[in-house]
Amino acid sequence: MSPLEQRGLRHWYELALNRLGRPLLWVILAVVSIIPTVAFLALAFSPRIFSQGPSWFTLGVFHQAFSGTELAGMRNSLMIAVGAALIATLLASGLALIAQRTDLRVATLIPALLWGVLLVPTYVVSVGWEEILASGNMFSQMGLVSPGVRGALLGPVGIVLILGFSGVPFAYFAMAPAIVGMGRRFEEAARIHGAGIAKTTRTVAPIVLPAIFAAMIIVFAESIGDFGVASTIAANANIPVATTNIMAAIGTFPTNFPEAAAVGWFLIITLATVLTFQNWLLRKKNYAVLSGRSTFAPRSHPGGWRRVVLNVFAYGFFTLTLVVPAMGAVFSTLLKPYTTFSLHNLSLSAYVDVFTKQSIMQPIMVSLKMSVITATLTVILGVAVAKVLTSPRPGWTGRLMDAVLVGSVALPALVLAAGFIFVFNLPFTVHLGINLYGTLTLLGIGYLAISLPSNSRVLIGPIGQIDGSMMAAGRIHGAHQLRAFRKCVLPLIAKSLLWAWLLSFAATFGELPTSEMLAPTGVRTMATAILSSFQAYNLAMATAFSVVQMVIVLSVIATATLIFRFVAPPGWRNIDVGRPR
Amino acid sequence: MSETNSHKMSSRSSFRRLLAVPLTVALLGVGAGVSGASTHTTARTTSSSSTPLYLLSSEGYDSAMCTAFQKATGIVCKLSDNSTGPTLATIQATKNNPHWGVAWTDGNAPYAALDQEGLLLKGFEPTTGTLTALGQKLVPADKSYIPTGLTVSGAFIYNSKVTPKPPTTWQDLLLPQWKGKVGMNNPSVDGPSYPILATLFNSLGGVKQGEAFMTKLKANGFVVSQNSIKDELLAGTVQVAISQNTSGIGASYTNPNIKVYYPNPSAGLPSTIAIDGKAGAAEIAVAKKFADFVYSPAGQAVMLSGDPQGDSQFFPIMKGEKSRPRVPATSTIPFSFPNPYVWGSLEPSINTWFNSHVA
Repeated sequence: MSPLEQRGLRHWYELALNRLGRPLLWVILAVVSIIPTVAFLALAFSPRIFSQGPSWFTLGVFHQAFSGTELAGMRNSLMIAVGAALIATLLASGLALIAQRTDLRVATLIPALLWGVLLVPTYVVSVGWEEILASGNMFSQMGLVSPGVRGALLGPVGIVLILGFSGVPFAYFAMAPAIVGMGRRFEEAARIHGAGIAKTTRTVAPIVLPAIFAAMIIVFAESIGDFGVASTIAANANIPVATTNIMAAIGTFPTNFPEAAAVGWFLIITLATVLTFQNWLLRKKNYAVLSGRSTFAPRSHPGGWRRVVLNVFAYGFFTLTLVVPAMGAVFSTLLKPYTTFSLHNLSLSAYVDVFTKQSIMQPIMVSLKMSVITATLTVILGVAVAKVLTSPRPGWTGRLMDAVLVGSVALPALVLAAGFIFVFNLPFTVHLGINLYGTLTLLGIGYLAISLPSNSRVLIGPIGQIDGSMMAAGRIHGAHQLRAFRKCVLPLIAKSLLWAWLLSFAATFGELPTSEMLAPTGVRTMATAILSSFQAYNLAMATAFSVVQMVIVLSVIATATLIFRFVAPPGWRNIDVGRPR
Repeated sequence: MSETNSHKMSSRSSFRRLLAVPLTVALLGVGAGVSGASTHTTARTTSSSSTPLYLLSSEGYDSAMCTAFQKATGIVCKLSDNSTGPTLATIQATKNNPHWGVAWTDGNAPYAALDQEGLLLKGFEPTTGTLTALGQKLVPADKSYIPTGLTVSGAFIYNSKVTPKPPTTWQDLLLPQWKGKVGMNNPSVDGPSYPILATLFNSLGGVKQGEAFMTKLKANGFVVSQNSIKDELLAGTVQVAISQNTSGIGASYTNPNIKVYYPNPSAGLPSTIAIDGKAGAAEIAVAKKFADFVYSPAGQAVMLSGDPQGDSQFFPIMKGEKSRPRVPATSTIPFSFPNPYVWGSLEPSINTWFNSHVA
C-alpha cells in the first residue's frame, strides 16, 4: 500500500471512530445498564408488561412500598447514607491532607492502602466486626468490648461507621485531584490577611466544593445501595433498610417484583434529587479558580503532638478498615464453631473440608475467567466514560450519563439481574435470535453492569487530570493516535488503570446476587459454591471457602503488581496522577 | 476562534477519536461473547436422548442426586443450586419463557400458587415407589407437584445443658419464664418459616386468632431473627429456636446437647418436586425420569445420604424406606398440614402483618 493510500485509510478510520465514539458508548451503556434498569422500574407501574401482575397500570404497589416496614427502611437508608457520606468525606479530607501536605511516612502509603480498603467488600468488614465484637471472644475476655460498645457498634452507629469507612476511598479519589490542584496559595493568602485555622478552612473549603459534593454523592449512592452491611449487622439488629426490603420482596415467595421496583424508584428519585440539588448549588457560583499555573504544595514537617495525632488518625483508620476484617476472617475459620477463644478451640478442619468435600476447581476457574474478562472490559469502558464525564463541556448527554451511572450504583445487583432476565428472556427477543438468558455472556454483561459505574467514578480523578494537550503534543511530534496515547497519556494513568482492573476483578470474583440470578444452570461460581456450603449447614467450611477466595484475590493482586513493577516501563511505574504525592 | 481554543478543541477531538478505539474493542468483545454464547444457549431440543435435565434446587442432597441420576440414566444433569428464595424468584421471572425442567425445594404452598398460574405439569405421579399413607396426604388433587420427603418447620430446638426443661406446648411460650428466650426466623426473609405461622394460625382457628397469639408472644419478648435463629441459639442469645427440625438434628452432631422437641401441632414441611408445564415433550420426559429416579430405592438412598448433617435428616414418605438414626418415627410426631391452596395465598398479608407487629 502506498503512503498516500495509507494516509487515506487512516483518515477514514479516524473519521469513523470520531463519529462512532459516543454513540457506541451509549449503545453499550443502554444494553448494560439503562434498558434492564428501566425495564425493572417499569414493573412498579405496569406489572403486566412482564407478567408479574394483572394490571397494565397501577400505583397500588407504591402505597404498599411507602408504608410500614418499607417506609421505615427508606427513612433508615436515607439517614445512614447521609451519615456515611459526611463521615467518609471528613475522613477522606483528613487523609488527603496528610498524604499531600506532610512528610509523614504513612503519607506515601495512604493511596495504596486506600485501594486495599476498596478491595474489601462491606459484608467482609461487617462479618469481621461481628467476630471481633462477639461475646466470648478474646477481646471480650480481655475486657476490651463492653456490652454497651457491642450494642452500639453492632447497631446503627456501626452501620454508619462501616459504610462511612468503606466510602472513604471513593471520597478520597473524588477529592484528591482538586486538593492537589488547589495548591497552598489560597490558604497562604487567607493566613497573610490574619485568618486563623477555622477561618482559613471556611475560606478555602468552598473552593473545592464541587469535589466535596462529588465525594459525598458517590458515598451516598454506594451507601444507600449497599447490601453487605444491610444483610449482616442491620439484619441482625432488626434495622430495616431499603435494600433488605428489596431483597425481602424478591427473595421470598410469592416474589413481589413490582414492590421491589417501587423501592428501586425511591433509590433513583433520591439520587436524582441529590444530583439536581448539587447542580443547582454549583450553578449559583463560579468555582473556576484552578488554572494551569497551579503548583504543588510543599510538604510540612509536623512535630510534637501534631505528629502523634496525625499518625494515630491514619494508622487507626487503616487498622479498623483492613486489620479488623482480616482478623475477623481468620478467627471465624480457625475457631471451632460456637466456641469461645482459646488455643484448644483452634482447628484447621474447615480448610481441610473445603479441599476434600467438594470440587472447588470448577467454580474457581469460572470465576477467574469471568472476572478477567469483566475487569478488562470495565477498564476500557471506564476510561471512556470517565473521559466523557470529565469533559469541560459534557452537555446534557454527559450529565445524563452521570445520572445513569450514579443511579446504577444505588440499585442493588439483584434488581439489575432481575431486569436482565425480563429484557433478555422475552419470547420475542428469543424469536429474533437474541437468546442470551442462561448463557455466560449474559452473566458477563450482568457483572459489567455492576462493575462499570463505581469504577468509572474512581477513574474520573486520574482521567480528569489529563490535559488534552498531552495527546496533541504526541501528534505534533509525528505519532499516530495509538502511539501518542501509549507514549504521552498511558504512563500517567497506568497505575490507576491497574488498580481499577484489580478492583473490578476482586468485586466480580466474589459477586453473589448476579451469579445467583444469571449463572447458567449447571455452572457454579465462587459465590454460589460458597452459598451451597452455607445451605448445607457447613458454616465453618463456607467461611473457610470465603478466605480461600480472598487469598486467590490477594494472590492475583500480588502477581499483577509484581509484574507491573518488573515488566512495565520505568515511566509507567514512576508517574501516577491518581496517586498525588 | 482563538488559537488557544482551537488548540484545545483539536486536542480534545484527538482524545475523543482515541476513545472510540477501546469502545470498538469492547463492543467487539461483547459481540464475540454473544456469538460465542450460542454454544451455551439453553435451546430446547426435541431429541430426548440428548436433552439434558435442567434442575433448579435448594435441597442439600441435590448435587449428589444430580450425579447419581446422570450415572444411572446417562442423561446430563445441569444443576442450579440456590437458596429457596432466588430459585422461586427465577421461576417467577422467567415464566414467559421458562428455562427449567424440574424445581425441587422445601414447601408446597409456592407450588400451589404456581399451579394456580398454570405453570406446572399436572397429572403425573412417579411409579417407581409407593407413598406411605402420610405421603399420600401431601399429593394435590390435580397431581401438579410431587412430595419427596417430609420435615417439620416449627420444631422447638434447644440446648439441654442450658435448658433442661424446654417448653412443651405453644401456650407455654407465653409464660413469664420464657420471656425474651424464644425466637424464630422472620418469614419475610426465610421461606420455610411461613408454614410455622400457617400451621399455628390454622390450629388456633384462623388469622385473627393467630395474630392475637403472636401479639401476646411479642409482648413476652419474642425474638425474630433476620438471619438464623439456630445460630442465635448456638451463640446463647435465645434458649429455644423455633426452626426446621433438620437444622437442629444437624447441629446435634457438633453439639450433642442440642435437642429437638416436636410441639402439637408440628408444621409439616414437605420437600417438593415440580415439573415445568411449558417445557417441550423431550424435557418433560427427562423430568419425569428424574422424578421416577427420586422415588426409586436408589434415589431414596441418595436423599438419605447426600447431606448427612442437614436435609438428609428428613422423614421418608416412601414405603420401605427408613429414616436416619436421629430422626424419630413419624408416628410420634403430631403433624399438621394446612391446605397450601388456602394458606399459600395468605402468605403476603400474614408476612406483612408479622413484619409490622412482631419483627
